[in-house]
Amino acid sequence: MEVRFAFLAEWYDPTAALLRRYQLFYYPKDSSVEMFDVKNQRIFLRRTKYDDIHQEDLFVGNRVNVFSRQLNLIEYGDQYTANKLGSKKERTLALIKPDVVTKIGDALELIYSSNLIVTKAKMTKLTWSQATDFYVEHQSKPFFNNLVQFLSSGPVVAMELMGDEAVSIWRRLLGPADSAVARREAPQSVRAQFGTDGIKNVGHGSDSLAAAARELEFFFPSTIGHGPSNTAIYTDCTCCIIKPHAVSEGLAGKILNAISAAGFEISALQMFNVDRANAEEFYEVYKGVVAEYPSMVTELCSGPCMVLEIHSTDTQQTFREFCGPADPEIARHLRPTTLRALYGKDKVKNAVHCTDLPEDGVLEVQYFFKILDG
Amino acid sequence: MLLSQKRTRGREFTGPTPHSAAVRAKFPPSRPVDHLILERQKQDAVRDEVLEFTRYQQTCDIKNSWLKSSDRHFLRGAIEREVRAAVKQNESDIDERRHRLAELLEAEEQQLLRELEEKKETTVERQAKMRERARLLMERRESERQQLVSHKLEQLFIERCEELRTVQNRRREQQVCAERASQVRSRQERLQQQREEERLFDQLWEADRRAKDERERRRAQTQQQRNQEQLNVLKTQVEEAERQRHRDKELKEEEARLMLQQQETQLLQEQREQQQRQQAQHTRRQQLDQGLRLKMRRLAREQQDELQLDMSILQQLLQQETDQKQEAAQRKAELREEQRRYRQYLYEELQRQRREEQETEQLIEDKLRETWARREEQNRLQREARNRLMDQVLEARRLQIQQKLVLNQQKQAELQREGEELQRAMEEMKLKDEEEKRRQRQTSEAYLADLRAQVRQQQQLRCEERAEAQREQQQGRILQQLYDHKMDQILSRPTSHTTAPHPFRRAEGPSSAPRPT
Repeated sequence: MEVRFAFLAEWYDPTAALLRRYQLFYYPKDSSVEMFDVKNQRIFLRRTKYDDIHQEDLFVGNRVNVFSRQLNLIEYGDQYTANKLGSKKERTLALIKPDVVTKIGDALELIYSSNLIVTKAKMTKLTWSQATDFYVEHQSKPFFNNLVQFLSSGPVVAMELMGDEAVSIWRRLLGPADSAVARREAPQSVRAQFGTDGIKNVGHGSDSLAAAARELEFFFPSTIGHGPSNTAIYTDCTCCIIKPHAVSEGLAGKILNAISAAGFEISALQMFNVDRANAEEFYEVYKGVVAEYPSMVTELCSGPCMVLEIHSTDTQQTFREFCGPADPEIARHLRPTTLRALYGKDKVKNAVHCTDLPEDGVLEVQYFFKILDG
Repeated sequence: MLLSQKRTRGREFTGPTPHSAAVRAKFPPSRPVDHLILERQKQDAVRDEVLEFTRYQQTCDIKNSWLKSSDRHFLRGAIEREVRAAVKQNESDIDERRHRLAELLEAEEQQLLRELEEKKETTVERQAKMRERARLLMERRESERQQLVSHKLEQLFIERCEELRTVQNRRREQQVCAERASQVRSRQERLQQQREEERLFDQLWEADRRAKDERERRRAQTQQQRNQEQLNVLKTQVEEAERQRHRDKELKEEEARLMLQQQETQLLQEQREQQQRQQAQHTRRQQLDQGLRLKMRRLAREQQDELQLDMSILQQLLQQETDQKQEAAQRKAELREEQRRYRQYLYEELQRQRREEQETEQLIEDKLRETWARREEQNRLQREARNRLMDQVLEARRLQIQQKLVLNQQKQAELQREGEELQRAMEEMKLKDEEEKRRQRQTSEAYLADLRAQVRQQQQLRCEERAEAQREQQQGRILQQLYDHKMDQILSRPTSHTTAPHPFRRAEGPSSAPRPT
């Protein structure tokens, strides 16, 4: 019997305005896919070789593109797949505290290098009461007040990490709680590198699966509500999108580092899974102007992307120059130090999108942080 | 009276005097004469009023609905207008943005292209670069040439230096000798190895052959053994069948004997019954005869007794007459009287006696009959008991025989069944044997075919080898001829000492005297 992974997937049919359900089968032997229409009980896509899908993309909650249909994986299709793929996958919350929000790129680099995937991310500013709610289990500790004070002192970045034994890996990555101890015992850990003391210790990690579920629910509610609000300010800003191909290749950390190093201030950050309709709406201005508009839309909705609000003086122009020409080939010739020259592949997969028109910056930021997140 | 009057008269009232009466005036009529018309008119008026009201209501409704719908229309129109305006505004805005974006991108592209253009080098630069490159190339060629020259010089020195050459020759010879020795050694080793291999193969072949022989022998042995077993089985089967037949026969005979016995007992029973019947008849007859005889004898004896008595009496009478004749006269009457009385008495006595006799006879007969009846009863009981016993015995006997018969039949059936089973098993065995034989035959045929194919292949291989060898030989001969021919040609070529110089020497030839350092 050949190895086969089965998933239950949903696809939003825009012409019928319906959510259609399919069973998606993936054969790792020749990386072929097969789709079965659940409602009509017939084969929708015969077994076909499809190289753009990888086994590590297949987990519940992810979105995959199969022949330009964006499928939302909602469940494992059989017990075998659940055992094989689901049992080891864990989710944990990684919270980057206000002291190292500027070094978020380094944290992301470390996360990617230890084989974890960032599935959700959000920069947010906690109020005193929210911070108290979040650290409710430390209420009796002596450092509680300082901790809450510190946590609500600035923006934090909450991330959902996924991977094999994510909880323990992230905790190991963080190292001992006190940075001084961490420097002594685990000099490779994040707290040893960036932390200052027991409270300003870079990040927070869930200590068990149950705690991870609770804390994830706090930041990324699965049912109703939006969790803590984002930190977008909508003035003097420009929008930067780290495109899905760069996110999935793990370049997000490097790009963030580069942006920070160039002196831009990241005032809001969030990861989005963009639907096709939304992507079309967002790129409305480019329709008819650039020839790559359809493939741009497809690229934007092909996976999670990271949206940033960049804040600086004369942001739009300088950041656009920093991103470089849209075509990475030209960029490599003329501006070899720009983001697109460094991380782009072609004119569509050019690592980042940046606001082109000066007055569109606010609009684009509003589109993501007000309309899609609101 | 008054009351009744009042009541009867209605409106009339009697006065105080006779014939004075008064009539009460009539009430005016409660309804006017034309009340129906009036009512009708009233109803009509009411209806008209209602109709009027409804009409008024309807007009009001129509007015209202018209007002509402027109309001709605206005509203919708306004909304649509505004929406359209907003969409238009948005579209124009987007168009405008698109326009500006296009311009921006265009300008940027232009600028980039310009930059690209600017980055391209000018002709002077290109010439300088080419010159530089040519210089580099020349230098590289020069250095290569130098290297070659030094190498050649070294070769020349080696050629010219006798000592070096002898040393090198010696070294080379030594090397050649060593190589030759190693070659010889390796050849010997190879030969040895080949021999070893051959020996090994021989051994393997021999072992294989032996194993095959052994297998064949064992197979034959097992075959023989199986045949023997088969024979034994068949023999036992035959014996079994024989024994079966024998047993069948015995059972049949026993059955016959039992049947005969049954018949005999039946016959015996019948005889016995007849005999019993006869005996009963006979005793009946005897009884009847005896009764008759007894009766006769008694009757005779009675008659004799009577006669004797009569005679004796008469004698006595006669004697008396003779003796007493003198007194006869006197006494004749008396005597007569007496005689008559006596006769009367006798007669009476006789009558009585007869009656008594009859009674006794009756009694005797009764007694006799009683005894006979008793005896008869006894006899009957005994006989019945005997009969019952006999019946029981016979029944038991019959049952035994019956049971034996049933057993016999069962046994026969069982034997038949066994025989059938045996037959079937034998058939199955036979089928299996045939199958086995067929399979064996098939495998042997396949093996034969295989062997034949192998032989054929071997022959073909040998044939090919032979052909190959022949071809090689022919080719060798052709090559040899070619070789000889070429050698002859070269040998027959006129020799000249003006051979063309080596290309390098030719290049260096004239200007080689001042050797570059």
